[in-house]
Amino acid sequence: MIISVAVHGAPYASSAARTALGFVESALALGHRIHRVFFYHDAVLTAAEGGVAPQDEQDVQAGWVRLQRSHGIELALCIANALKRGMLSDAERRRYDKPAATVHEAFTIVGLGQLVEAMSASDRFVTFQA
Amino acid sequence: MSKKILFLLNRAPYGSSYALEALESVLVAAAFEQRVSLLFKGTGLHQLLTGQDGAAIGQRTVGKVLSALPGYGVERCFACRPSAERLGLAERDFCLPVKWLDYEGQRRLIDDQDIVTG
Repeated sequence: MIISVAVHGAPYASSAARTALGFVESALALGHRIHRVFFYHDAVLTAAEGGVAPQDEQDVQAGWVRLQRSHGIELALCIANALKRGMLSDAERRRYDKPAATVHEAFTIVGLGQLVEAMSASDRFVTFQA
Repeated sequence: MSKKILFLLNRAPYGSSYALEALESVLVAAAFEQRVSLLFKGTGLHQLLTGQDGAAIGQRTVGKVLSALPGYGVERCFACRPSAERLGLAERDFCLPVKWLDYEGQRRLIDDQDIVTG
């Protein structure tokens, strides 16, 4: 089955990111294909390059990055939600003349059309709310 | 491919960014010609109130965005009747016409969708 996932909660304030990560890992283990993971609302903060996870807590971002590397999963941030929360790729940093990029390179910044495309192209669309 | 997508809108209009950001995804889904329905539940019903002015707190007005929805082809707006009774709200308070649903009606609505999201 082709599955896309939306994550709505901030990485540590909400259990959404952790639950979504576990869901995607399980879906992959069962042989499903993940078309796109779409980070919306505060979930765009999952991509914060400067984040340092506490030693005794799961590193949520590292989990997503590992899946991106091993399975080529697209980790997509909503551009409107990302920009206002200071989440900038190098291209956006240059476009808005900001001092530094803040988004980990495993994540891409996309338009909301990609959310609808993911809904359209997948057999299942699963939302993890904040 | 056009899908039946239900957005469950259960957040208050101004307590957080959730309401407005969710409406942005509603608008885009409608613009991409998906068959969009909205179900307002709980304090999400406050999004529908007339007489809102987001400018007073430096924000866009949620009710204004909602009023624009019919222009995007979003015409299926549902409201949770038990929520409205609990909050003391009636349709005359709203900026959009809604269809009232009890819990059984909501179950059937959800059952009829390809996708349910927030």
